[in-house]
Amino acid sequence: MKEKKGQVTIFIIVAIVVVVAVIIFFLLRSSITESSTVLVSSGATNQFIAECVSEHVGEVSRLIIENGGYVSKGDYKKSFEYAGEDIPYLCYTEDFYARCETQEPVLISHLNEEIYNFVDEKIDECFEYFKSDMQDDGFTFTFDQEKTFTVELMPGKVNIKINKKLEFEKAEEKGVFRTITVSSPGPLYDMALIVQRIVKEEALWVNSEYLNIIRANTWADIEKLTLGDSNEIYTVSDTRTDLVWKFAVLGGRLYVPE
Amino acid sequence: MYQNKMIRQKIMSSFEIFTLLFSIVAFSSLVSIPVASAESDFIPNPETESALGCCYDTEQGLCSPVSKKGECEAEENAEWYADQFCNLGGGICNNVCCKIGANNIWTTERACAKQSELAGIVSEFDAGVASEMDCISLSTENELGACIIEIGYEESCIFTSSAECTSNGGDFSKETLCSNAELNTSCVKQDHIGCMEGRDGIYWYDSCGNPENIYSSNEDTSWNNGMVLSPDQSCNPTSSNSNSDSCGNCDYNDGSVCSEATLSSDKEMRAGAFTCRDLSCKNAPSRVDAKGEVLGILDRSNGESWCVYDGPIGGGIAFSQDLVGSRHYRYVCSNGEVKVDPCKDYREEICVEKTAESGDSSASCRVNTWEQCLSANSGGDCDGECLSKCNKNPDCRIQPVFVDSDFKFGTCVPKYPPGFASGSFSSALGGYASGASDESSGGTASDDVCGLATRTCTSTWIKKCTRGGWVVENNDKCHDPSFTIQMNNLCVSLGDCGVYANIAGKPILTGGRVKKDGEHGKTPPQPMIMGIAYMALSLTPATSPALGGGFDKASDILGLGSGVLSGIIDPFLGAMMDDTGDYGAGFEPSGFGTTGTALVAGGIGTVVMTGVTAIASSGTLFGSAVGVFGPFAVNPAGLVIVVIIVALSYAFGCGEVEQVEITYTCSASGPPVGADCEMCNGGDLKPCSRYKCESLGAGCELINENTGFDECVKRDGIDTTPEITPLEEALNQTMFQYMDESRNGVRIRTVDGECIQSNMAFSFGVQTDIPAVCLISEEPVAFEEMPGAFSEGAIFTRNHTNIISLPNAETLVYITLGDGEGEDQETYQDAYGEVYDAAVESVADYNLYVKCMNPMGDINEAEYKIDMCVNPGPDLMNPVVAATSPPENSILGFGITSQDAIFYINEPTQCKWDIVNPGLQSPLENYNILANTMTCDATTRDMAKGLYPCKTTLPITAGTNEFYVLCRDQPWLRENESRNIGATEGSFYRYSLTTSELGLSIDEIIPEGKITAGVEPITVNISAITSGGGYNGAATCGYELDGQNPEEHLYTEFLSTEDVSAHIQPGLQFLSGEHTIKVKCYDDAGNIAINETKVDVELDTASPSIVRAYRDGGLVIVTDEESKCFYDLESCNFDINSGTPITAGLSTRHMVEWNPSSTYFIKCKDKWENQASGCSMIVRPSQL
Repeated sequence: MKEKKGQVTIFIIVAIVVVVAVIIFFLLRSSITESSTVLVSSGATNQFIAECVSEHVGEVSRLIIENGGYVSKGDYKKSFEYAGEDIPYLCYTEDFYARCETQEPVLISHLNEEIYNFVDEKIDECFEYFKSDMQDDGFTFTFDQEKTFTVELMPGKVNIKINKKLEFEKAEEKGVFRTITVSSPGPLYDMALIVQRIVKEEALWVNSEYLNIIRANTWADIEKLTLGDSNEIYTVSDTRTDLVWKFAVLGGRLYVPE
Repeated sequence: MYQNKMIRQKIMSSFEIFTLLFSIVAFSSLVSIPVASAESDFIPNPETESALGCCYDTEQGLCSPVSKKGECEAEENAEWYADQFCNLGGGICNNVCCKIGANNIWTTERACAKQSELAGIVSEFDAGVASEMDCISLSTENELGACIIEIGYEESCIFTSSAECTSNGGDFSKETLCSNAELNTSCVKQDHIGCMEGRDGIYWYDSCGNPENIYSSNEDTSWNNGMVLSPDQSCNPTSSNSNSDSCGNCDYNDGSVCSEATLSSDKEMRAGAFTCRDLSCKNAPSRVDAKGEVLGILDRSNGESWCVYDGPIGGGIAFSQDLVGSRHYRYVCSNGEVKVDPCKDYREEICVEKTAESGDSSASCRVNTWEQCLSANSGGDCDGECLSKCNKNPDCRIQPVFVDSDFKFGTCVPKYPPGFASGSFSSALGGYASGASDESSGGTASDDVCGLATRTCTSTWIKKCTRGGWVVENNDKCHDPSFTIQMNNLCVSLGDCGVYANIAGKPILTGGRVKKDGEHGKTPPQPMIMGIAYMALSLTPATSPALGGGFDKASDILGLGSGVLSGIIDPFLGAMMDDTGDYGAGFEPSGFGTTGTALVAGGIGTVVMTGVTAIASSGTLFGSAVGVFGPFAVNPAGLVIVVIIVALSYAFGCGEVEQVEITYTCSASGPPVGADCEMCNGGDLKPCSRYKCESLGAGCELINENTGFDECVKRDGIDTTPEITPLEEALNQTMFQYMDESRNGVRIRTVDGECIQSNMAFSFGVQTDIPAVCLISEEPVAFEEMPGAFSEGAIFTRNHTNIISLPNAETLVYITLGDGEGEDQETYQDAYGEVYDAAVESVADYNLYVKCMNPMGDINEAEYKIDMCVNPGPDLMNPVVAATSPPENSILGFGITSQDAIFYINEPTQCKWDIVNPGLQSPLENYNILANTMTCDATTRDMAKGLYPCKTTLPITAGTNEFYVLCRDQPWLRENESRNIGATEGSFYRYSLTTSELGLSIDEIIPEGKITAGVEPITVNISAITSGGGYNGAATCGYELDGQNPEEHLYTEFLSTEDVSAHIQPGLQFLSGEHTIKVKCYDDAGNIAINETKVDVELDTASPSIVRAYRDGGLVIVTDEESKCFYDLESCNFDINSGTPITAGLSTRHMVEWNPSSTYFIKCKDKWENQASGCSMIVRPSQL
């Protein structure tokens, strides 16, 4: 009898431990979900959104690099056509005996804006896809707050931090989404720093000593093509990803007698 | 009979001179010459959105120079400063060596902090590192080691920096590998090899993925008992190890870097497929001809750059040598690959090169300041200030001409002559005109540049009866070949001028011409004979690269004004202005009547043309000439009048003196005939360009420009012989008409079909069906013997225009003989019967013959004849004063008592003047009563633009001086009353001159005294205020900084003048120390003023100190200088900009709330952003 009592006690203790463990598990899971920063891999919801957004960020980063600092070629302030390709001027003056004017004086902020504007709708689309999937699985959404997000360019990546409260449930299951930081790897920031430096040197000294830049950034390759009409085309390449950023410079011209 | 022939020849010669004279006039008047204006430029208002300055990205810590205020301030995290060079306080735009983890980067302090924040690693910076290369090299010295971090219940080891380890809360073991046995980690040593970001070598990696030491096949030595080995301590530290399979100590500076072994040339390491990739460039082209064929090779190191040219460059023994169509190239060895980096075409840039102690070359393309050479010339001979300027500018040289004792001078010429765009040629062929040229640019036309070498040498001959003939008295060597050679050498040194050769070695024969006006002596050979000698130049390599500093980095920008770049003025300060910068290097008061100089805008400087026969023209000097030359005086304000007159003395008897003028005319070379276009399409080593293509032959054109398929090809439709027809639009058809037009010629008559009125200038022209060069002659001779050119010069175009004025027979006789008299028309005719008859014959049937050459060199065989004649009727027109020097109503210098004056009349006259108007009825009575006679000589060599000068000296008193002038024409008629009298509208010409009421003075020069700055260099705008003088302070001013030699001042004209008397020069960069600013001004009245000031630039690098803290209604702290203070309540380890501000603005007194329970960690910074490295003070109110 004593043995049975002992067994019951053990069962009760085990049951309590199991219940406590389950409670702790859910408590912990809840606290992780509601932490200010949720890792991409920390849950199916986050994973879905992170992958979706990251894909768009990667796409826009590539677009920006391939279009010389702009998402769309239509956004060029001034451009120059060479070999059938429209190339934006990032430093330009048509005056003689003048240094070129920097076209995007706050380049990183400009890139932030370009990415922000591009991914704004894309993030919404990601949530729509997610909601659609969940609804197909029988979930209903009980709370859907408007999102806010920030973009930050960093060495080797672009971070998007999304704030949005989203609650959904199905029968006993309930899910909550709060905040997520999505990192999309890519050389946009590193290449932008190089581009900004070339533009700075051209504006100051009417020339850029790009060999020094290559030395300081061994992953980069830079080529400069000076055309007969004084237009200069810089090609900055990331040898790791083969992404190429081309831009044009016109300035420091002297008058050519006729 | 022989005498008659001679007379006819003289008449014809005079007629030719006359018509040529007007050809030149036409040429001059058609060349629009903008004159540098110092009064139209203003410093942009810094409040406007378009003002240019420095944009500082406060978030990233990056600076963007030359940025628009509006665009900058539209961004959230940006501040705009009115300093285009970004010389900002606190040196916030200066780079420092930033150490983040294992790597160093060269960036600003703020950017360093930002990078640190993004990487999540504490950074530190070293402001003592001088250069980026030093900074990168120092990264190998960063302290690395094993960092033990607890992740969950496990310990992991990461090989990183102390700072990064601390940031991650790890336990750092300095210079220890993670595989070190003492650390007792699970990481197994030397698991594999690989590259390490930011490092050159091949590294061992442990099993945890941590880098260890540089790979060596000697594994024990490489592991070093688990301790770090620096590259210097690793295998083969002095080698690039590019051929090694056992040592991975690659060194970028020695020409190798770690890479995966993917190339067949890569030597793989024994432990893995990695190599020390050889980055050097073996057999790199060091000499390449214009076709792109490699003529010489050299091994080059990685990062080395060198210059490659198309032929000889710079100043040779006799002239500046850069060939027509040539370009400077910079070649670069970058990561094992030779890259071609062409300098700007048209030799806008030159390639300069220097050699380091290591033997490696370093080259760069920098601006060619050729215009500053031409600007330096301010008189007939380049001496004094010109010589000094010329010698100090590394892009200039003195070109001496020493033909004879009375024909010698020096000219400051470009060492690297500029190329010329063939805009007219191109546009004539279909509108391919280069966008590089623009009338509004304030630039210089090629003919203005070349015209600097158009000179006339005059030799004097005396008839010696004892020696039986004419004997030369001076300048006899001007008749020798040395005249041609030396003048052509000067000509080709100015630009693409003269008889020279192109890059293909083809001679260009049309850019120079020698003409002798006079009977005596030989005619020097034409310069085209030198074409053969120049052909060989294309095969001559450049003996040494161009020198003179880079002008592409901060030190060289600051170096302007000292050292090798002392003579170069920053040509791009024009960016400081709203307008394009016409600012002058040629700073020289010219005063009135300075015949011999003509101002031509030169963009960065004022090109001062000088010629023995060049006549000054500026301002209103020839304003009144518009009436004479009608629509052809297109730019009276800046009109250059170039006049050549040759007088042939018709001498009888002994002791007679005659002068012979030998003129070298220098014009743009243009392309040679032919179409050797293929040479341009040589490949990547020498890319083709419009300039290069068109220089290869007049028949070449560049197609598919900027498409990547650029190709130089032969033009279509240029093989036919030009067909000539009259150019309708050249003729004023309200007065004249073309008649009897045929394939062989045309007549020009008045609209009534009559002959043309004498002494009336009019234009005419021909057009060709294809682009052609046309020449003109009074005799039907071979094309190459034709002496005259149309206004367009030696360029291939379809329209060819000219202006001509035909004298009547009497005028022709008078200017031919230089004298003559007759009671009336009949006696004059009787006196000079044969001469007169010849003159009548000449003007009654005057023909010009035209031949044209197509770009391939084909010439029309049959001459095209233009038939004209002069109306033989009597001269009924009153003479007119067409221009004066000084211009009428001029203001003269303060205190002067006399003034030389020249009155230019439209026909040969005699003129008189007085200070009172006689007021008589009869023009003849008035004329006769005037007290003072001018010196009028119709054959004088100073005659300008078909106008006949009369000279005199006028007495001047203080205030306004008035003079009354009358002229009487046809001087050969003696007292015949049929002579016309007048000076303006048949009456007196009233001429007024006024003296300045005050002398010119420089009242203020700013800045003056002490300037304190937090960083050097500082950007300084200097200004000078003038007053007095002839124009209420309006003046032209120049400045000189820190002039070394008190006898030798090199003034640079201020960039702009505001409100006529405020002279402003923005954008000068000063280092700390004392500087002298000397200013010299002159006004149009001839007043001169000089003043100077001293500026002491003092650096404030000290951070503000808190000298007192006390309670007074709050916590009050007092700093020793005006500053902004911030506090944090936790520690001193906070960014000052993110601290809580105590005071909004700069102040010495700062107050914050009194809270005894708080500790205030206070940091202060002054207006230069100087701040202490830690806290300025830690204040605990409870302890006060």
